[in-house]
Amino acid sequence: MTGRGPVVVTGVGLAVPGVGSALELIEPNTPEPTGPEQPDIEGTLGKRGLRYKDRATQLALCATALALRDAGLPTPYPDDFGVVASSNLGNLDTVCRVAGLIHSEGVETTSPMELPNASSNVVASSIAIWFGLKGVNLMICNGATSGVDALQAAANAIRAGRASGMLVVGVETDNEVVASLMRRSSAANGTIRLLDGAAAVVLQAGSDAADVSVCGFGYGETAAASIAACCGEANPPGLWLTPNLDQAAAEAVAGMWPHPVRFGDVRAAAGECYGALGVLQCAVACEWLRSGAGERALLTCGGCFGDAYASLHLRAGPGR
Amino acid sequence: MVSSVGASVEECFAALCGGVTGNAPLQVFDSSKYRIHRAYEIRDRTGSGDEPLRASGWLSMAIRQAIENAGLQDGADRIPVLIGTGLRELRSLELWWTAGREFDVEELHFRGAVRRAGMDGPTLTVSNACSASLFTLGMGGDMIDLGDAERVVIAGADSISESMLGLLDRVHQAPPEQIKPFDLHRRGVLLGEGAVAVVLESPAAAARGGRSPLAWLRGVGLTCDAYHTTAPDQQGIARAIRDAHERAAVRPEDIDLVFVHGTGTKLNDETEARALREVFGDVVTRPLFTGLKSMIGHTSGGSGLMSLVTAIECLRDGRVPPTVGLQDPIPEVEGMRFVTSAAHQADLRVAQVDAFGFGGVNAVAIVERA
Repeated sequence: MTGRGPVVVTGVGLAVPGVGSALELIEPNTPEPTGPEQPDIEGTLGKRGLRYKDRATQLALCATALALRDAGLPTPYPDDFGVVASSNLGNLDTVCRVAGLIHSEGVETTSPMELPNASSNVVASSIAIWFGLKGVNLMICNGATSGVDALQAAANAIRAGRASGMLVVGVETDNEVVASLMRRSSAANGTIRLLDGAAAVVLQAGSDAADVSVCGFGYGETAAASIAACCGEANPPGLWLTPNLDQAAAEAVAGMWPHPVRFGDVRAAAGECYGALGVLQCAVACEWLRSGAGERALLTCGGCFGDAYASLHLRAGPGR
Repeated sequence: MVSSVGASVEECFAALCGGVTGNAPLQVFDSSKYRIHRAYEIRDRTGSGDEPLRASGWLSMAIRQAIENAGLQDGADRIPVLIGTGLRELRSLELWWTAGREFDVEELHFRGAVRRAGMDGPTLTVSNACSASLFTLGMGGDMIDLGDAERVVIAGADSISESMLGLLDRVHQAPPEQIKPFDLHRRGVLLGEGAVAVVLESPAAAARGGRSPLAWLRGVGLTCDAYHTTAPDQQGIARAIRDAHERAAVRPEDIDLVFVHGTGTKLNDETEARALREVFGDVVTRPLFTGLKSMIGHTSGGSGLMSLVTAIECLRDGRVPPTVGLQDPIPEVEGMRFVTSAAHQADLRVAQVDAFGFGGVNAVAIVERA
């Protein structure tokens, strides 16, 4: 990573049903969920202003509030604090519902309050408005690698001197429209359990106080190629959060490392996370590094729904 | 570049300079369901009904044109492709939902379209409303400046979706017949469609390949209003213009030509004009101003890059297309030199391109003649 100094992670927030701590997502032996059955959106954000927000926006706002709180930044945020949101499915239900209404009865039956939600960037812009974040604002809708793509876009905004800090959120929802669409995909084999949740992290320009540093990003047509592109000659990670690979395929990839690496499949607990996966994995990896369990963590997403692979390499920062 | 007035950069530029407009009655959308009856559609459908993956088709075409124009090999070196789009392939999703047409989720972010254009590198699709393709231009420029890539393809693509067509119709006070940017009698925006692509390269890589630049990208300013989900904000727009000028190391008096966003809605045009006046001050009377939306419609996420490609043609050619439909300027643009009625010939060096989107996402690019 070159540019104007290192990029670090300073805050983590989750809005995933039943999940209290991010580490539960890679603890197969967690007996009972520690979190509430549904994220406490109104308790976190207050009731005011939520009425016309779609489900994806509400979940993303909730995870964002928790991540900003975790980072402990003073408000108001500086003008160069931005947002990157990642979601593929977030507003598809609005689009299909409105198109269906127009198709059958005409535009007079639609509500003008739907207009913001018909624009695919509603999640990113709503976060900016809610929290007063006036810097670069991006909505990444890039399929299965979106989460890592969003983290890279945020890191680049900082490296390029556009932003001092970036909030990155990944969110997907589960509803009739997206479930029906995702089931059709050959990767789903006719059945699929979808995440209905969000994860957020705060990236900032390097600081000595940080727990977690961003080392690099890599892309490739295979998981191994994307890992090689982001890790280079670095020491093997202690934890690898895997993409859409079965155990044997994951072990084959891990054969490149001289000693055994712990695997974690966030999707096993959270369901298919699609565009939210990379950010959710990043939240898990950060909490794992913060817990002192290891020095390096690697996460890989992609490899499904027609997309290639993207990896992110994180290490424990000096402030841990 | 592919739009309602042409299927290549040359065709589009010639049509735009001639004041040709793609404004026509709705082609396949059922007029009885809408109050508006016109749009700037591309007439490429083979039957009477709508067809899926039209935006994908134009995107593949625009990328191939850009690669060929740059003299590069298809898919060479895994060139990253960054796509700015407002509406992705949501029209195809709608056709799946309302008409049972085949659709696969991986087409939503144009992954297939990029592959079909012969590109084998990573794809990044950014859905940043109506300024999307200038956001991807800024991101691609950063990738090159940071040394992460030697060259990238920047693209924009959108087709008209039923949901956006209808919801924009729903908020019009009186349905417009045409877009009249900055005109007293403007009634709002009509949608257009198409795709556009450019190859962005580091000067060193271009020189090594023996490719001479069409123009220099001097800088891209990116801000967010953090104000309203659909209404614009003068402060956020002015910040984006200042950010672009600062990154490009230019002063307002250095700008020879401004491509306005100019959607022809009451609030957007007034706000853009006020922001331009705020930043340019007394020299707001110096540059030429023009906008394309009255000829190709609001092409959503692709619109900013379409303006940029046209701006580059203006710098190279010296002709500036007219802002068709601007007859009685609003008081906010008094003294500003809008090109109207016919193309204007001028010696131009530096151009500014504005693009602003829902959610207050503002992008402003500065290009210089090579």
